Amino acid sequence: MQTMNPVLQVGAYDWNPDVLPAAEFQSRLLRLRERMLAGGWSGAAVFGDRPDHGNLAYLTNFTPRLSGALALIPAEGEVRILSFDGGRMIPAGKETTWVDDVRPAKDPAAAAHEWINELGGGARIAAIDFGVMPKGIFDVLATVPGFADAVDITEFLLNLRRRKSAAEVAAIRGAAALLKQAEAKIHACREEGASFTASVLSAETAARRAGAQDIRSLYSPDGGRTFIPVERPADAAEGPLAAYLAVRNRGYWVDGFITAGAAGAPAGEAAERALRAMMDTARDGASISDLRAARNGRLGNLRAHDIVGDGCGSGLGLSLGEHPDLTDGPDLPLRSGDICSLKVGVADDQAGAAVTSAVVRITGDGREVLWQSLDRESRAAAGGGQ
Amino acid sequence: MKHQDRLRHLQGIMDADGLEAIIALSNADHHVDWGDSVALISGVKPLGPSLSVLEKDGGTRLVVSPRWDVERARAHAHAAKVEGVSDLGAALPNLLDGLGWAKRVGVANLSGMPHGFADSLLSILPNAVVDVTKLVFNAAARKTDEELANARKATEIAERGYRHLLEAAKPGIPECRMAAEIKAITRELGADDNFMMFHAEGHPHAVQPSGERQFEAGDLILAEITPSYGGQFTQICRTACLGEATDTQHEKYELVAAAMNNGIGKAAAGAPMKEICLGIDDVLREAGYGAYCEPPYMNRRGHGLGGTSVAPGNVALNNETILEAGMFFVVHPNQYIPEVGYLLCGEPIAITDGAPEVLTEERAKLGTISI
Repeated sequence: MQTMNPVLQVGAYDWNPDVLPAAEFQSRLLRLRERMLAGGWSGAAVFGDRPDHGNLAYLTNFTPRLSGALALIPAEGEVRILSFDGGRMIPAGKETTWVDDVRPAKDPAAAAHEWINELGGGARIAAIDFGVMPKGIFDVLATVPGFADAVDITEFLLNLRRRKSAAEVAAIRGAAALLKQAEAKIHACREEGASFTASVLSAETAARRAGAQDIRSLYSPDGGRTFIPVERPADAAEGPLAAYLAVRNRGYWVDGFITAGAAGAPAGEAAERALRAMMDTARDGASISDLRAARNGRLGNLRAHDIVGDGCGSGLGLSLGEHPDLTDGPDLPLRSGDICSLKVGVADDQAGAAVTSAVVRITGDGREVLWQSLDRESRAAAGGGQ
Repeated sequence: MKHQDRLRHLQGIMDADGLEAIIALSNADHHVDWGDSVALISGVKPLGPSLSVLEKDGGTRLVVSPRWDVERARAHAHAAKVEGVSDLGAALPNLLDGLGWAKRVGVANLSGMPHGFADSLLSILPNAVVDVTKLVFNAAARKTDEELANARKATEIAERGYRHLLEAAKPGIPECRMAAEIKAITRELGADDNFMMFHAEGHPHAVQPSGERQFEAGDLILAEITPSYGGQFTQICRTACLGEATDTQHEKYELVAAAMNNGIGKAAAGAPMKEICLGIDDVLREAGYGAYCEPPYMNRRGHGLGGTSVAPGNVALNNETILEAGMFFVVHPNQYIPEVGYLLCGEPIAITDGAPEVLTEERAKLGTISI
């Protein structure tokens, strides 16, 4: 889900080997290097920018702060990171990664030349996430032999990221716990009569104080019909508050839609039923079209909410939208190990508007629910709602 | 100055340069050191990749992504036509269909966009394309009345954030946790964002992004508190000692603050920006720190503040920009002093027809935090 990108990420980004051990990164590198060997590439260059550096972080844990970064990974030998953050930021950047060789990208073309020469004459390389590289950087790197005709293998890495390790699942569970705290804060604020924006901002504060690396938010000023970022406090407080929160813990994201107060019926009830049907369907081997069919069976002719569209949500992990692609990607089956944010939205002239979601981990025998709305749970516990 | 005055100013430049339209681009990758040309022309801070068009007759257009953000854009835009699309790149051919006739088009921030998108745009504009990035941002070196009002509010929030820091900091708190705390508090006070460069050490050598090091007694806490209100950033630079500061720390901080104040005293409409830098350096040189008036002991003596434009640029010896009423920037000596370490000291100022307006209620002094 698109939220407003901050100018600087201020949370705890230092690499913690107790959370993500070096061996985990070596294992990921090994898989990449096997692919490089099969493809006949002497190296791989992995770009990451501030808004989304999931692939870069997957291999290095490096977090760009002010600009992008490029990891240069030889088929054999040490990994190098060129940081576009500037020389003064390098010490802080080094703290975020297990990679020893972090350099400022003062002259990226010269640095890329140097690396290509180290790989050997006529080296062919693979590229990851060059598609999001700003033209200003790409045009410079494209002058370097090997970079201009690098073969894109982004999809390979995105698929590798699908199956989460135990350490990754633990980080995601941590993010889900933080999301629950933030959600609880929203409910508490609303019960005290706080405005929509004050409730959302209090939830942000609660998550940050509890240790969230980052928290992003959207809220609806009109009962779930539209969603906007909190750009300044507003007094609106009437009716239910619909909000979207995304929380990051140790690099890993969890997100969810929350409704504090009764969502517009029958839109809310239809969205709840559709989400439950999708959750029941989500298992190893189920396809995206299976999820869509389960949802549509409950929504009938109700119009989909623009914020979700015809998609069923997204994969979650180091990015808020990663594989499996539940929007308009190929109709591939879910796999054990996938972590998905399932989303359903309705915005109908007659039925009203509602968006609801849940985070599930696909297991060998079904799914584990990592997060779903407190409101829904509490209503279910009270014998209502579902 | 009103937003429409800025657009008329840009139209005048377009007319002189033979430009039939300006296409401003944003990847919504917000940065404290860059402007946002879409926000500059449309008045809307983009959520996702967006573009705005200013035509020579004054016609304006804004295209935002994601599509569902269109109502927010419509509510805030200074644009005649506002559209929402799910994929800006895919929508380009249709969006720019009306510009196919144009013989000379200016594009701002092309190099900041993903290269595939940028190349697609260039393929759609078959005629002369001119990079107008500097031109557009320089045209917004003078802030609008609304931007200045927002800067004042942002500065008030920054000072309240700093006061919260003085109350909340204590040994054992990780610096990143305190940075997050200040960011959260300033958000609750109305900031839409905050560039919190925040760092602590007993003898710091530079300010940098927060890590997980825990505060220790005797640390100098360096805080660049940079909230944005209504899309307009401000910045205050402060240094606080965790525990009693030494006499030397007080003395050196007062020196740096005096240098800053001397620099601010040079900030006048009609003077070149570099005069402020010289004013700061003069005081430090006289105190025997001339050798430290260059990198790596300092970086720049201040800079412009976005979100729309960071013009008039850095407070630096090589900036010959003539100051004009309405310009807004931060003056910060931010200086390494060998006896005590790196000291942050800075105030946001607006150039007026008389003395500069210092937006802070209380100017920087070395803070002390009881432990």
